[in-house]
Amino acid sequence: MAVPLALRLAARELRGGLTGFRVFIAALALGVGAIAAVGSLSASVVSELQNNARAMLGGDAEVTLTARPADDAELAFFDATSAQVSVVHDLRSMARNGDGTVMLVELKGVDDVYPLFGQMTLTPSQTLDDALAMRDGVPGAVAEAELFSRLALGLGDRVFIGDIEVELRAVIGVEPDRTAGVMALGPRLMVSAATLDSTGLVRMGSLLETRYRFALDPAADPAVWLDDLNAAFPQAGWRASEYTSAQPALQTFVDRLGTFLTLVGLTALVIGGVGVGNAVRSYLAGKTATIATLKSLGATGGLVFQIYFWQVAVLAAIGIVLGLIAGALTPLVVTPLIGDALPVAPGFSLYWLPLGLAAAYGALTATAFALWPLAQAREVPAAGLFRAIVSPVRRWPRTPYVILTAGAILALIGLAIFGTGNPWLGAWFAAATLGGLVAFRLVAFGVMGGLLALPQIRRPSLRLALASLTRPGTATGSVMMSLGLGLSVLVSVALLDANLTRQITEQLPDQAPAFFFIDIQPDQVDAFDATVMAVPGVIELSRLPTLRGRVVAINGTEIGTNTGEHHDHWFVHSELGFTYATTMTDGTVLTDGQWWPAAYDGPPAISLDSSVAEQMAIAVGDTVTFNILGRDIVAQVANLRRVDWQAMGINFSVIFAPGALENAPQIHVASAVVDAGAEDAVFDAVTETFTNITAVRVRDVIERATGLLEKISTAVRAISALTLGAGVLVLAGAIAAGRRGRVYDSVILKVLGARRIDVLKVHLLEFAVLGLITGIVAAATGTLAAWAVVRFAMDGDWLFDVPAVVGSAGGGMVLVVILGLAGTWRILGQKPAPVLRAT
Amino acid sequence: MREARAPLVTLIAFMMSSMAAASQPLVQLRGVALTLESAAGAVNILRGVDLDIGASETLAITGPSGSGKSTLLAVLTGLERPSAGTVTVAGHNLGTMDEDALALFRRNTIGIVFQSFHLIPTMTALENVAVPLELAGNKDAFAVAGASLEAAGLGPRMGHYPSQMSGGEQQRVAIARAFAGAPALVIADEPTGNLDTNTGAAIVDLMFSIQASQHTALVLITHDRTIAQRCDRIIHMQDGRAVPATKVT
Ligand SMILES: Nc1ncnc2c1ncn2[C@@H]1O[C@H](COP(=O)(O)OP(=O)(O)OP(=O)(O)O)[C@@H](O)[C@H]1O
Ligand SMILES: [Mg+2]
Repeated sequence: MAVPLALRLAARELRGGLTGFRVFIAALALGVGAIAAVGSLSASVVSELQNNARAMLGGDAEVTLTARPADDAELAFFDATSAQVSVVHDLRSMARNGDGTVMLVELKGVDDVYPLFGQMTLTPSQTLDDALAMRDGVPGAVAEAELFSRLALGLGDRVFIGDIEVELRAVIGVEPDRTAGVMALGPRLMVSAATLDSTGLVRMGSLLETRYRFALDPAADPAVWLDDLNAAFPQAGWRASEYTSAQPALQTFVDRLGTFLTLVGLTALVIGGVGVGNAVRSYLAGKTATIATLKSLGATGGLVFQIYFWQVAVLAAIGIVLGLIAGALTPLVVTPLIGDALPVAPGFSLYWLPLGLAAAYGALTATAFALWPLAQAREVPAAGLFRAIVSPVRRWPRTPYVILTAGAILALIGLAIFGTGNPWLGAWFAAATLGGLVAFRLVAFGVMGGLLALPQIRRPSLRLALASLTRPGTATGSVMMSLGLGLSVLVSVALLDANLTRQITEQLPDQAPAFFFIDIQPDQVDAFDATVMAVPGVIELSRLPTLRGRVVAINGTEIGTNTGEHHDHWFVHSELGFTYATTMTDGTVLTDGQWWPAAYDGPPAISLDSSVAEQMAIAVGDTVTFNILGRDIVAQVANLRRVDWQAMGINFSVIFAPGALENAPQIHVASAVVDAGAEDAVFDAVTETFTNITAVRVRDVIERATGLLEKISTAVRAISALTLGAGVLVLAGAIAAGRRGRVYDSVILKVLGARRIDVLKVHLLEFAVLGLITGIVAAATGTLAAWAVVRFAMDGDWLFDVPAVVGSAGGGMVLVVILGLAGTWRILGQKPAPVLRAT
Repeated sequence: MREARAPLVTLIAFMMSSMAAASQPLVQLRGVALTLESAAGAVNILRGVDLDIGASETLAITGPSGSGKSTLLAVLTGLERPSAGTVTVAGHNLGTMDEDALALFRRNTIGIVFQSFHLIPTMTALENVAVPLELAGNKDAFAVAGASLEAAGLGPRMGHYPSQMSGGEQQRVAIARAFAGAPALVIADEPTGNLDTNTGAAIVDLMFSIQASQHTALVLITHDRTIAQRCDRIIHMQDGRAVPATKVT
């Protein structure tokens, strides 16, 4: 079949090469690549999460109990309804080496069927049973590499936990149910259940989690099984989940982060779109005479449009395909680099949905920006050929093209809103991006108007620089728009990052505790207090007894039977910690009722967190029935108390009056406010004296939390940097397109006696003015956007971080100047004669 | 594929007017005026031009710079719409035709030679000549184009790009392109203006010889008296009006 004429002519035109389209292709490839990469990466992580959901949960279903092990009736149900049960115990504890160095570990005791799903990998390679077995009277243990390095231990060395020592037999490579994303306070140390028993760490009231994992009959539906379980034991107070719905929190998080990064990538694509439009416009400007000639030979406007449409379409396809290839391959490169930060290690495969979406975004962006200049090109008046002056058309294109362009923009917005799975965020981004483009365009207009209106400037180099920025047909406006938007994204990301980090670190109360101590046994209380207070530099120690249990009834109405509106509240469906107290602690604010007298010996009474009371519609005088270690206690609400959970001390939503709990098995928890210089001494004193007490250093916890945040913010910054990259491409395109005019100007300058340095000065000033104005406006808009997000979306206190703004906006400005100069460098060496001869 | 966009109506109108053409002069201008609004006020470029050109007639247009010669040709080819008057070419009333119809009209009826050649820089000589034939849907576009280049003495240069040819050679290609589709009318705006005298003379010889063999009407703008003298008729443009000029023999 004959190739259509438009295509044949388009191909002939394209033979000339892609010069002038490099920026066009790069801009599309960059944006599409970013979106495809983010989409592929998050799709691969989510699908890996789904594939590994069983192994990550540890079973088809899991039941976690904190206050108690399962009772006989429950165990009987487990056995009767599942194919296999595995029991795992988790607790935090201290591990100590022979030199007395101590660290917090996540201790886990496993039975011999562990893991039910997935594979444990150990180095050196061996079975878990072998590694954990008793050898020469010493039980085995395996641990994560961090434990070996922090305690300076090797394979075969021994580590002390509780009352015993264990031999380190292997380094854990993969632990299938070690869910990343859940905050670990230390490295994993794994022993057998029997070993754990013999440590003496497991006592009544210990903060021990007992997890029952089930392999169900393959025909059984885990969700149905779970419903049956909860129906059989409505009062059990356990956390129960099954694998198909166990990971949604993590999946949602990955999805959200993916959506957010996709939208940032889309912003980069749209900014690059400005470059796409500019490239098409300047290419077509160079084709004006050809278009006019074609028309004089009898080509219709429609044919002219098609000829150039096909060229742009082919080049756009090249850019999009390059972007897709780069994006699809990104997981291959990035996964090994950031492996630790990912909750799973995804294998490589192609995810067509994100790639398809990225291609659609690319095609729509290209259409939205290229259609307009293409439609203008067909209006080139051929009569100009008789006068050898054919000028590009700037007028409004015909209605169908205007409608198509508007359609592409609307489709792009629609896809941003509905294609990313988070309509609100998408709408927000679309509004911000469009608003940003329009705002920067207006600012550019204003600035250029202002520059033109300046009184005559004396310094010739500055005058020439400004003239170059404001000459008719200059790309200054679009460069300001795209660079400015890219830069403001960067500024607002830097500010958001600074705000988040500061909220975690600097907004801690002044007198934040340095330590939390858990699992203090009642008989250790006095010795513990004495030990801590004996260390110089301890400012304050507060210690409270704690018991665990759950709410079973409110005002006599049982929770399990009442499916009322408050049924899902954590107060009634999870295990709670309680304490008891005689006197009110300093700073307590009662919102209702009275605190009990010091010598109270009436029926059980409680003080309740006022916000819980409000949410649960509980008032002073109401009764709440608790089950604490098998015993039901009916307590009357004596007062309501405002609890500031951000104060970081130890606090409980329920405080009992004296008399009800003193004799129940319990442990104590404590917090200590300590001079920074005394932290190590306190840690050493407590861990040397009490092998069973777990010391949690707040500093370490914060470091781990900010570590995770840093990884996320690195990813966000990397993608955001692409928005500036897209802006830089637009700048590069503008410099390339304006090259001829620049060469001519500089040659004229030289002819008039300017030295190279003078020409350089003009260019330097030009880009400095451009960078300065763009940077200032970007700093302002970026700050405004970040402020809005912090204030309204995160509902937080706003902190203006000068280094973040100056660093990102200033860095961007310097980049503009450097790249601008680099782009015009070659012009300096241009010899005047050939240029003058050619014109 | 040809441009299938032209509505059927346009096609029928086109065929009917082509049949009507026989009884009329090829070109008929009546009261053609062109006023352009510019920043400095309205400019009257053409002020009522009446002109008939017969089929296979050769006509020279002379006149001082700025007198409206080029503008007249732009109007004649449908590239510029007059603000008053009628232009009829080969039976088509250009005033009633839309842009697409005018394009169809040009590709079938008219060939143009410009002072500055206006070859398409990304195409070879052969391809440049083939374009109007391809536009007209001619299946043998390249064969026909090749033959006209041969006739223009450019056989060995067919594969060359405009930038690889001298001005004279480029103008030969332009002439081959203008005549390739055997149009009823070829117009040339100072075709020798950018060439030296000898080359110019050779170019003019070429045009007249093709014109004679194809019986094409030829309208030629020139400042060169000797070239004007070779035409059947000369008109003189002055301040946007056409005045018949006498041939000196
Ligand atoms: N688009 C336009 N706007 C305003 N004036 C125009 C425009 N096009 C042409 N003119 C003016 O119309 C007049 C006729 O121009 P035209 O090009 O037809 O002259 P010409 O006779 O071909 O001259 P030359 O011999 O120099 O080619 C000139 O004065 C010109 O300045
Ligand atoms: Mg002229």
